[in-house]
Amino acid sequence: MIQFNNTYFIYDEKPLISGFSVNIARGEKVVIYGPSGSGKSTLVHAILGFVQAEQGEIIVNNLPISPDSINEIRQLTSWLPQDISLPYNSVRDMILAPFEFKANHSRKPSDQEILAEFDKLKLEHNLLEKGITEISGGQKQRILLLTTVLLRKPILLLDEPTSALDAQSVDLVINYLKSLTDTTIIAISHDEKFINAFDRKLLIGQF
Amino acid sequence: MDISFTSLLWGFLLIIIPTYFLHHYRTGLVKDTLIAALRMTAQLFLIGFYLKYMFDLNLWWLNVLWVIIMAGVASQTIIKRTNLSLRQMFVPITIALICSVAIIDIYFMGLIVRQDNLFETRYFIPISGMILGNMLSANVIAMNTYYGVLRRERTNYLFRLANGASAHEARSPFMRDALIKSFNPTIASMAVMGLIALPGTMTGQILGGSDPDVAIKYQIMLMISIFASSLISVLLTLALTHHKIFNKYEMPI
Repeated sequence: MIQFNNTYFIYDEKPLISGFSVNIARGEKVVIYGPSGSGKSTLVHAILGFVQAEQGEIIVNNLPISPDSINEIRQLTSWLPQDISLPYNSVRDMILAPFEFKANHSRKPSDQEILAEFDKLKLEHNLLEKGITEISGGQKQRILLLTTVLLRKPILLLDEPTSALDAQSVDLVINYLKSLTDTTIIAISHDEKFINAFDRKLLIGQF
Repeated sequence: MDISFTSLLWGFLLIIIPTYFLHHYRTGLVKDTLIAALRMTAQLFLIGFYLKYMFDLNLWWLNVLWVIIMAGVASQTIIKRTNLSLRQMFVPITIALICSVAIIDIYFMGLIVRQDNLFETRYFIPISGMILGNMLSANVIAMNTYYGVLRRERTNYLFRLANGASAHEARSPFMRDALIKSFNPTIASMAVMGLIALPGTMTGQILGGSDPDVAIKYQIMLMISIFASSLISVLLTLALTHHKIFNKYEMPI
């Protein structure tokens, strides 16, 4: 599903990642970990075409990443960045915002579908009617996570999806992600529990 | 009635009051104010002098050249005030301004004033100048908002792009912000025009001896033209500068 073939990345004119190769199969769950600044986010950003490899090739769903293929590739992904503040007033608006995009129209979830995901992450139903300022950081992180899951894309890219969660919620998120059997997941994490829960671990840089 | 040079000097003394307060509150704007006032005076006298000859000559190509030069200067000012690269942006912004002026000029001169000669100096130069002046402020606000918000909310833009938005869809909230910020002042001033504000052109025409009825009609048409041309120019400027700001992967450079 996703291949990095001998890729090199540069940051601030210095080599960041050299000769990185990996082959990730459909439905595989991969966690990327390593020290800060080692280039973990760069790898995820490279899949999305936000940064380009200086050398080597990245192939997503048999499509080498290029200006011509990037739109098609971005239709296969959903991405949860580490830190994001979205300009919406209510939880419902925040969840439904990506479904306003033409390509996602047909996947727009009903309240019932949204609340079913709420249940899986132990979020109370009344949160759906709340304002963004009324919910906690942990609740917001889980809601954004389920929003990216509701997009039902084959590739889910997550940057520190449990950074604002307590230990109990981390377990919930792990089980939630593992239940998405068909989805290829690449998650960046510093959380030991989260890292250990994944079958495949990629260490980037050295501790 | 003409204003004598002595009266003009008396008028200039009025600037002492704002300058005093700007100095008192240590705004650092005194020098800029005085330079701006002197520049304005020199430029307007120069234009007045130049326009007299332009009116006498009434040459279409000279008028067009004049408007192109004005668009170039406006483009330079927009780029300077938005901290963009002059080398990259000068040509696309100048083209956007010239196209917008051309569209509105042709419409205004051909359909409203109904001049046989679309380039009649007496109309073409002042109307183009007025339109360009307003385009300038609309573009400065729009470009600053658009590219400024895009810089500040980069993650939000990327979030949209990575989650299924087309480039156009991903950029649309920034475009909306730019249009709101840029056109709110014009809409507000249109709404109160004549009630709490007498517009400069109209006042100028009336002071210059025109019939208020005629002055009002010109003012209405000018306001509409200014609004339409500013909006067209903002859309064109943003469209023509996109490829300089975004790479082939739709990433802000």
